[in-house]
Amino acid sequence: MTFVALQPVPYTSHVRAPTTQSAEAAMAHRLVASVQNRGAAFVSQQPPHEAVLEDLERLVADHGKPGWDGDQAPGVSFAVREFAAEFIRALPETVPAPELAVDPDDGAISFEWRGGYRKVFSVSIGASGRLACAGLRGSDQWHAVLGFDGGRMPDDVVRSIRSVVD
Amino acid sequence: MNPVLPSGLPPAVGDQEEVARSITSSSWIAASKGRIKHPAFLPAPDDDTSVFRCSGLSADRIRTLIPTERVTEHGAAVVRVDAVRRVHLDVVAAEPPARHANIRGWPVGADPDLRKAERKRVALGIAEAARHVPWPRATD
Repeated sequence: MTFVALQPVPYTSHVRAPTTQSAEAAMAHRLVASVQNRGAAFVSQQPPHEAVLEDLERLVADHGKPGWDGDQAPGVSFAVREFAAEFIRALPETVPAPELAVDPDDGAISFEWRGGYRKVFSVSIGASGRLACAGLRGSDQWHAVLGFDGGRMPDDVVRSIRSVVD
Repeated sequence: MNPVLPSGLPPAVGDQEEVARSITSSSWIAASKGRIKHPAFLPAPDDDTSVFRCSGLSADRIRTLIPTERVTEHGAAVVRVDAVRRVHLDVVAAEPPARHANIRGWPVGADPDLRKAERKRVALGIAEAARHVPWPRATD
């Protein structure tokens, strides 16, 4: 069995995020970064994964209150919803749409791509706005935390998606 | 020491046993094929994943084990204990309620995001070995 731990990649935007920050500060930073990243190539088109955004809204509506699991699960917060929406908007149209879920430990939104038995990659985005990633590919398995500034999708995420669905 | 628990089961959970996890979110089942997704097995904030020992039980009987507030229309995820131990977690009896157990030993670490990523990797391994058990439909 091979274990591969990806190294965290640096933020790709010219607006760098501080390493520790409140959810509100992270949100403000990402809004600025998102606008800057889109400003140079303003286009008036639907995001490629519009249906996934609709899935997100349904999930938030169903899992917004604490205890949605009949136990201790935190609800999906406004900040998590916004981070998840940014992640969806940043997904390249060349990758397939993910399946969404809500995590019971922290109310994060989980995105999953699966190409078959033990060919699966998942990203969770919670209140920190960082990407908690994990994947299986046969006997290989890996996990990593990646920065995401709300603009460009980290290359390692796109590579990992393709490694399980192509 | 009691040789059996109040449920009549032995205190040690065997590798060949099956445990059931209540599916409390429709998002934990893949829409197309009824496959179990890994968030179903992530632990609660108290670091335990609550399950019920269910070897040899019908779906109807499994449903009666689960506390009412955690029974939904989505059924249960069932997995063998050896699949849980293969990813270096353990299943520990925790009665009452009858047949209750916890999946324990989740990775710990100071960085919550890195801890989350590692737990996801472990949960992915469990979910790959799990199967969906829907509740029987009520008949007229």
